[in-house]
Amino acid sequence: MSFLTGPMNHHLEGHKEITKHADVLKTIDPDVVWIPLVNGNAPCKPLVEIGDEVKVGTKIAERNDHFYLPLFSPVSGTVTGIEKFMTSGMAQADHLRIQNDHKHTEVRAFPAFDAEKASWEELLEFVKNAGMLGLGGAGFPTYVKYLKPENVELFIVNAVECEPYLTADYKNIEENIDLLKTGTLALYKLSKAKKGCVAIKEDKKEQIKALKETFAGTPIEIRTVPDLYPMGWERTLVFQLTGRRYDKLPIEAGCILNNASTAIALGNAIDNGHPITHKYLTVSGEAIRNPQNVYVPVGTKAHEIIDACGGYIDGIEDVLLIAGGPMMGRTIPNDQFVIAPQNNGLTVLPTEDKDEVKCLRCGRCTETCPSGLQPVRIQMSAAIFDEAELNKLYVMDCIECGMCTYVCPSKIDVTENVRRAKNFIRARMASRAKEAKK
Amino acid sequence: MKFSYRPSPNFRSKRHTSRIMMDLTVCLLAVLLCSAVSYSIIYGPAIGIRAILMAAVSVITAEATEAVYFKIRKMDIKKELEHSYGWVTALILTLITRIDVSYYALIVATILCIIVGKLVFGGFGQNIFNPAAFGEAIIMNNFAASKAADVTAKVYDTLSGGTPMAAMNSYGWIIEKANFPDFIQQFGGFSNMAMGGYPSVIGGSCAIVILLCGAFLLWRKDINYHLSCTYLVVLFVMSLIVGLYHGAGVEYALFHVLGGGVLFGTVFMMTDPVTTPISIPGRVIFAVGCAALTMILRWRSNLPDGVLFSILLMNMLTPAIDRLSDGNQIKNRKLIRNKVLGVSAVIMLITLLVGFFGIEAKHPVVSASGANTTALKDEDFAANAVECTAQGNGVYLCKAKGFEGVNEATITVKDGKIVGFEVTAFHDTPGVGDMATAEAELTRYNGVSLDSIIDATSGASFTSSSLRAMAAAALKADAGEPVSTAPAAAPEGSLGAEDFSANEPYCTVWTNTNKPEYVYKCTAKGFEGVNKALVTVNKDEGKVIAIEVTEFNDTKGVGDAAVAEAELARYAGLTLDAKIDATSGASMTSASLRAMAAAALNAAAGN
Ligand code: SF4
Ligand code: SF4
Repeated sequence: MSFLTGPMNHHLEGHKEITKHADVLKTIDPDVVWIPLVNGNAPCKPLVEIGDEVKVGTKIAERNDHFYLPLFSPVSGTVTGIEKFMTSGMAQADHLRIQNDHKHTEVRAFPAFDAEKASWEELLEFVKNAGMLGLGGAGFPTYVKYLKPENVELFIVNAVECEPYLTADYKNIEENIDLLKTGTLALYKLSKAKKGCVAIKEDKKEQIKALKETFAGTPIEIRTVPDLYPMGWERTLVFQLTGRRYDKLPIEAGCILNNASTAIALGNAIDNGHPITHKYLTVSGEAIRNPQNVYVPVGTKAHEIIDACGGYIDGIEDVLLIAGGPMMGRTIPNDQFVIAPQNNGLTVLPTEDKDEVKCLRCGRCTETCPSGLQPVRIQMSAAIFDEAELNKLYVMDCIECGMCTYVCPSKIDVTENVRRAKNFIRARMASRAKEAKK
Repeated sequence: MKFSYRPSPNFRSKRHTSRIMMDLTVCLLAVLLCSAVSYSIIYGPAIGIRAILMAAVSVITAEATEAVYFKIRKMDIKKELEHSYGWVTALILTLITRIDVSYYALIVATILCIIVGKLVFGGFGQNIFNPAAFGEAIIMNNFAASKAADVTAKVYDTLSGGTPMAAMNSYGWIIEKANFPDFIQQFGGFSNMAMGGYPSVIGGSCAIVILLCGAFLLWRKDINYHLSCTYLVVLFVMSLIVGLYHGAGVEYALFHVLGGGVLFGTVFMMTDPVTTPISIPGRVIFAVGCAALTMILRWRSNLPDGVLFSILLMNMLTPAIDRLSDGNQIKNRKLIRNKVLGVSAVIMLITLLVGFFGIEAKHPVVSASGANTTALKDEDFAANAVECTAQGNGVYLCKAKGFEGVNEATITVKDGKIVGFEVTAFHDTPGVGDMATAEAELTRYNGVSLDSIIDATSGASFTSSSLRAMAAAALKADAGEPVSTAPAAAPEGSLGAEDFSANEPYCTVWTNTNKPEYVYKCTAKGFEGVNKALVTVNKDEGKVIAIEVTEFNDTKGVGDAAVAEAELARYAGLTLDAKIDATSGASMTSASLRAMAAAALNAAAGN
């Protein structure tokens, strides 16, 4: 970085050893699963009726607006209803209720597919119909990124997993490294990129070695990146690997990125004809009795997973239940939400009071903000509702990565204050748009 | 089980503002301790203890003031006190105060800086001005006279040239390369300055400790290097350029950094985040501005040290500077960078211009400060070795030593008054000394009698004193008094007649609390190294009372024969006219001792 900017990243305590070496719990088989009928903000239309029998791999719903995304049943059993409740994204949504018959009868969702022989168009079609979506957290349909791959220089598989506590990607790669290879090569082909790489944190020594062996003889390089947050964020990762910044999409910098677990899911679809039905999920934190990774059907309720992991540690009465890691994940004030495909962790922390003092204008938040913002000044301008100044400070560029709150020595909820400033600007813009219509 | 809601992220670094303040406190205490110890050693334990007492008084006052304020505002006193960090302000205030400031002044300043400098703005984090700098400005402006006189006498009056910055001031802020060694000697050289062996403000002395604290705080990431390093570098570079332009060397620039409050200000005040810009570009501009103002205030104002006021002035600009770095640090990187470069360049250019054309070297008579109050006939011109020869008709041809050479003048006296004064030969520094020989200056001598008082020409005091010496001599000669003030030659073989120039002896007054006893701190070259001694002289009688070797750097086992107790005893009662033998077998060391004794006696005699 130049002399005039801060590092725009920061090393965080990973807390990954808690779950990194424990075995993955695969026995969770809930009696009922609820499939969230939503992708992003768009609803998905159910394709089955109440009372229908479904098998593992039956297509049960699809999103069909300007994007296409099919959803598949993770269990075999009977569709018993549609219920509306809160998702892990804290929005109300319909959930398809499926009674599990525990028989695990499977149906092959799509025929065998040879990604190497297939044409580019066939491959794209396959990715679309297999229901591949960004499993890193975004949940964005994967095929969309590859519709017009022009002048792509670098294809990146993101195995950085910079969020503290989470080791789900790590475990997933450990157990499915061959599927990762299949998926990565297929996506690489789809991207028409000049070069391809898997980006991983430099401290994961063993996995780097395994990856190098697996990808030996392929055009895919293994690139290591420093253990900094938010190295897994697309912009930071692209800048780290290419030295380039971009305005809206990574393709402007000649890059296409996908998460490692997405590549594995695609590998699973190609090799085994298996859609996304299950998720690797890290259950960790200081308030859970048996922290470990689990492999669960999509649509499993959070409390069942918590129970399977031994429940809460005795004596802790008040917890923060976080869908995801503690930096970007949201606390959910109940344990009745279900696991969506893009979820990758449950972090359970004891609720603790913080010792907040006044902002001392130390500038740490400004130096570490990966978006190049000045959170402290946004916070001050928001306090006096100075809309013009907030726009000058590019408040809408905030990605809510949580860094500013993390580094703040005064223990202020800086991120939350920036978030509120964004909401304030959004509200102002909306009301102005309304006026204009009148 | 209760599921609480907290906005993300729910993960925080361990570093807490309180820890930063604790680090700062520890460092401030270290500096205080260092000062107290060095004051104890140099001026006696009473002064050292006073430093600690002052800090205690200020801290207690600050905490009490805040407690009362919080009580009135009905806030939780204990919690607010803990998070208001008033003691840090109080410690900094004490450390930027002079040791002779009265407790009364310190207490009032503490109360004002806590209330007006901090609490009225909304307390910690909201204040505009650096509260400690604010408090010190109050002391300087309103309590300049409120001093503990005994402390002033003990600490500051022993210095011939005053504190380093005052000394710089008397030299016109430029010390040419040739004069630098003499100049720095007053403060015992750079090493002595680094160890705090000279008085300035309480915390200003221990450069080494301050630097260590700075390094510690940087390492702990408690303070910001963009600000502190930029400030030091810019200050050094600008004073170097200006110094080179005026014929000064690197030492001059170093002196700007080491002397006065620069180091303390950099580590403990400029890095106060509350009153400085938030973003890095803002901090760089702030630092450049501070460095420029420090230099300009030093050069062009009568303030003792520019650091404090430069900080206060820049504090006012902080919000504007913050606005300069509006925008997204990634998207507007070039724009912000250009702004920083442009603003910095303009500031530096202005400073350099002021430095090039706004200052001029002076050669002060170290002891002559302020206006003259002595009548011409009573002034002591011994150093000028003046001689006059009568040419008849009241015309005298006179010679007298100036700064570098001997100046000559033709003076006409009528009825005990000067009626003509013409300089016939001028051998002092052109451009400096000739200020005293300007026509307007010379007309001041018209009508002057022995009872007149003539002020020295400021900025050219040596030359001026040679002129006055000649005037006095001519008047005296006309009145029939003896004229030559050249010292009578010392008797053959006596101490006063020995030539010690090879030893390069040098003495300064160390203490004179016990008049007429003067203690001189002397240095002189011996065989291998430079030896140092404290020589106590009875000034009225021109006699050595005792000599005490403080540092011995010659060959052990050889030279130390000369510094044995029995040998040193021989110096008691010694005068310039007496003869003293060298210690046999240790003649070089002995010569250095004799040189120091002679230098001290000469200094006492005003030679
Ligand atoms: S949460 Fe937003 S403002 Fe804060 S560091 Fe991240 S991007 Fe910057
Ligand atoms: S990190 Fe916290 S204390 Fe520091 S400037 Fe940002 S908001 Fe203020």
